[in-house]
Amino acid sequence: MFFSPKGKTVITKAAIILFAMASLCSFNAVAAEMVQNSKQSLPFGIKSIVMQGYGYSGNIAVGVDIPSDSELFHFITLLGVAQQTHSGKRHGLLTLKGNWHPFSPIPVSRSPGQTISWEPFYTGLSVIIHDCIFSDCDDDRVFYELPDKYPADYYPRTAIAFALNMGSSIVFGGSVVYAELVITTQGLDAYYHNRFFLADNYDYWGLKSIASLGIGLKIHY
Amino acid sequence: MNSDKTLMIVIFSLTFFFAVSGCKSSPWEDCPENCQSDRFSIETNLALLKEKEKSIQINEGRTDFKVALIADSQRHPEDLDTVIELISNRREEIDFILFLGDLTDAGLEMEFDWVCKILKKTDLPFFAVIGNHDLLNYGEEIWRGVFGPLDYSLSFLGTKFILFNSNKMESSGAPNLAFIKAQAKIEPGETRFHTIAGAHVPPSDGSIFNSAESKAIKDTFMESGIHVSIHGHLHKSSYTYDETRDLYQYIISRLENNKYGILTITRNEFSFENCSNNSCTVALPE
Repeated sequence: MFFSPKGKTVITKAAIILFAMASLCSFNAVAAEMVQNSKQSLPFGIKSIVMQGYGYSGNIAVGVDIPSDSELFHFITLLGVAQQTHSGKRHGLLTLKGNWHPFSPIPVSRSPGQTISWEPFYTGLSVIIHDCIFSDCDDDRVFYELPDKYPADYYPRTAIAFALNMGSSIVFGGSVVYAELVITTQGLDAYYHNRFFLADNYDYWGLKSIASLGIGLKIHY
Repeated sequence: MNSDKTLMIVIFSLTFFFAVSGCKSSPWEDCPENCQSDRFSIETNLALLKEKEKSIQINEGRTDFKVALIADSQRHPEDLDTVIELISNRREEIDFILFLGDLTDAGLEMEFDWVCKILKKTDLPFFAVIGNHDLLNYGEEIWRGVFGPLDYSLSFLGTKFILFNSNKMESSGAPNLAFIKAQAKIEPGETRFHTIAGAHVPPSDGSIFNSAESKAIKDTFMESGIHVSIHGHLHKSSYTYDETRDLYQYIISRLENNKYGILTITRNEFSFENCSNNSCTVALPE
């Protein structure tokens, strides 16, 4: 059979988690060094370098965060790569996020030279774009524009997904660690029409079926 | 609590939630967790059907049987769950389930996962043909992994079902008419009462097939001795008879609001019923 036994999937997942955690630590160290070595600020209002795992942005994604002057809104661009679990095919992803941060971080711990704060909630919207330039796409099935062969409005654009983000973050030193729940519009639509089925059959009130949890790290510049 | 401990707890909690969140690196993932079982493969279900046939031949000696037909569940897993329960409650009279395509709306991992979660609840053998919506995104890869080939056939109590991919626009080379002809041939020593074709898009759909293509498929049916074809795709049930080719075509309504069909086959006859919840009415050819 095409699918591996469940145990193998758990091992693969654990390996990916370890890899992601190791990558986050390395990324933190490299980014911190970059920040220390640089005397100038980044262009285009970029305030942070971002690295994220999962949350529909790829197994791993890197990008930049551009906050508004008031820091109420953050615009994040991520470039990610996703390796499909079973076929092993890889594809790239471009994620554009606009997040609204209505709460200021609340200090939760103070130690000499470092304050740890908690931002209880933020939300926003994402556009997630499947890369068909560098990745191998079947143009009849994954497309930005409906191919001419299909009647008008036969299918929506399948290579573009829209999503709702909800997250929470911990701010420490010059870094932010965030956890973000991402639900695509297809997932939201499915939940609206099938909430009893999803709640009865999937954990976390059915969210396990339609959401992806991402974790990320922002290094402030 | 010092900051290092807090940080450790935060990282541990995030890792835990990350671990339970499933393998969703992208909306285009291909690992529906609930489909990771041989229960869904055509091979397994053919073996179940063979066992059932053997048991019927030994214990009951009947040649008549009933098949539950469903199609186009797409974004309505809640209704599919209800219909599978309704059909399973009639397991004494229904012998297997045939799904005539569009199990999903966009061939997405989460949609296949819902279908597998639901199909796990029945002990009836089930078979499916791929729909045009199932082919979108990475649906074909998921389909082949979960169910198997897109064209196949099965025999049960003297009736042969030839199930094939008719999604011409999404699959180059479909439908494979040579496959239909080859499968329809009666093997030496084989006793066959009926040959039935099953596919998602009906050959009569003028928005997909031009008149020459439609004619070629129907002529293949006629030349191969197929006198019944069953389909989904059009979302509205219909039952027609093509006198020149002696071909009955039954199209099942989409599953929304718990609609399904029942095909009853006897040695010399066949009939269709349109069902909604527990009530069924006999379909008459137009």
